[in-house]
Amino acid sequence: MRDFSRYLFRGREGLREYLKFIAAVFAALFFIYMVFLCVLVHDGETGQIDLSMYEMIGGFAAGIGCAVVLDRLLHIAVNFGVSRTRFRKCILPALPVFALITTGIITLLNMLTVLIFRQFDLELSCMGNLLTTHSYSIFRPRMLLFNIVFVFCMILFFYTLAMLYTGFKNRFNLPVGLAAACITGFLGYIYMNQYDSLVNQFVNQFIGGIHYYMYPNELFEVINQEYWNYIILLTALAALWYLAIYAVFAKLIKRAEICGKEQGGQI
Amino acid sequence: MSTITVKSLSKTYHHSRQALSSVNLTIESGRIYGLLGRNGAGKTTLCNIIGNRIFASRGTVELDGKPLCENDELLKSVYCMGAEDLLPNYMRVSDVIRSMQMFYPKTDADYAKKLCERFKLDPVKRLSQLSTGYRTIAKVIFAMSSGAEFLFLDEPTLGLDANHRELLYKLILERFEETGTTFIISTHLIDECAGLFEHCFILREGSLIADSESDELRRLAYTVDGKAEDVEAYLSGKEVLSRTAVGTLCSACVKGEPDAVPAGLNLSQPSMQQLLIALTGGEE
Repeated sequence: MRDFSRYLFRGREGLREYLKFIAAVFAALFFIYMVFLCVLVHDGETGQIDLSMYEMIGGFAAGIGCAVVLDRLLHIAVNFGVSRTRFRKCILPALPVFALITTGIITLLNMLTVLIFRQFDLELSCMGNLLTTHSYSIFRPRMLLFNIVFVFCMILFFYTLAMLYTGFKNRFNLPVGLAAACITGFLGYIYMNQYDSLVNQFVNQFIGGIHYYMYPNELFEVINQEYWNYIILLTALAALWYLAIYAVFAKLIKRAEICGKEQGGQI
Repeated sequence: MSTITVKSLSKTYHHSRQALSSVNLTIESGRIYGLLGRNGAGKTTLCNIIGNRIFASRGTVELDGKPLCENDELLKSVYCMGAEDLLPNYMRVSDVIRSMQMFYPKTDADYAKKLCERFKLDPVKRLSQLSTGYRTIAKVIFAMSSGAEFLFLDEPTLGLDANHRELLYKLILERFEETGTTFIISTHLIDECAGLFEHCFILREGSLIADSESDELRRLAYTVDGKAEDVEAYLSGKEVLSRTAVGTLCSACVKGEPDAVPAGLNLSQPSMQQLLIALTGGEE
């Protein structure tokens, strides 16, 4: 198992290719932020600015990068005599590591962008949409950790779409792969935006909870929960989702025929 | 000595086309095999199943008695050079060789470099920048430098000019002499490669119709030619594999040992290609 894991992290087509892809995307997003800053400074704007691009667009791009890399890795693995079993076993722990690295990059970029905006008396709130509205500073340790967990879970969600795409594409064909990822992504989006969805309830609860811990004297509708419970609960929710989709992915990959043709193969 | 044993291997694709039907064969290490047959005979399917790219509908492939399918340790002994590209097109030749070292521990990067020089292939080039012939050369180089014990070369002459084909045959023989690597070569340029093959497998519509030493295979039939009426008279009661008539002349490939031949008829040994054409349905 070691040789394929080594290739995933040190080989040409694994982490390196993924990082090259997302680095290009984040560089573009950073550039857009800077253009936006120039426009704001030119217009003489000051105060609170809500613009969250790194998580949403960056997370989406990370998902696309993951799908591309995963598909290529599967083909390379099969070409070089790696069994599907080993491929699946190596991918299971590798993707969360990729997600963690991406989360680190997003958090650092967030902080850097906020600091640059502050030089021009602009307070940029560039975290997840739900938290943006509450104007929490990313530099507060508890907010920082929550942001890291939140972004990590979101990237993991995009990765699961990438897994579905790769699984269905290689088991059936490209349109089926795209349809599976799009439908799941759309259902996930609808579910998360429902007022009574578990995720939405949880995030709202969390905002109440974290507000209580930060400003315990203020009157705020709080649910007295432990901070770490929220963090663990969110991570557990993401892990369950990840494992469920991984099970589907593993099942699809198990008998996927990789011979350069999408269907039927060459006789 | 390692042995690959294919037992009752069958493969049916989604569109109900039977690509392989109960194929049984044995591949012993240290030999050069020819895997022959017409288009659609099942050669690529057989290579893909042995290389763990696709799965058999029935039957097994074993290496030294252990199932090869999904066995990582055993799959290191097999390299399947497919006619289809699985490697990303933007990869450089040198990148592929470097990557291969992580999967095939016996990869000989120096030998790969030497082969690139012999074929005048620039290893810095991306696979997408190579012509059809050079892409085939690149794939052959990957296979031959992998250090795997069994090399399946599916169409290794695709797009190669005559000079490169000659060089390839020479290199295969050199490598075989040096390392004793087993080559299983699937090709349509039968007469060119016939000298390489020690043993031949012939597939017809998914079934194995011949599994013999090359010399034995050549003795399987003989060619008789002459005036059409003389040939026709001679052929009565004999098993004719193929027959070609041009004007008043006729040539036929007959199964078995030649017996007393009437005057005016010429007997000869068919080439491997003629034999294959005769065995696999003539010129239909």
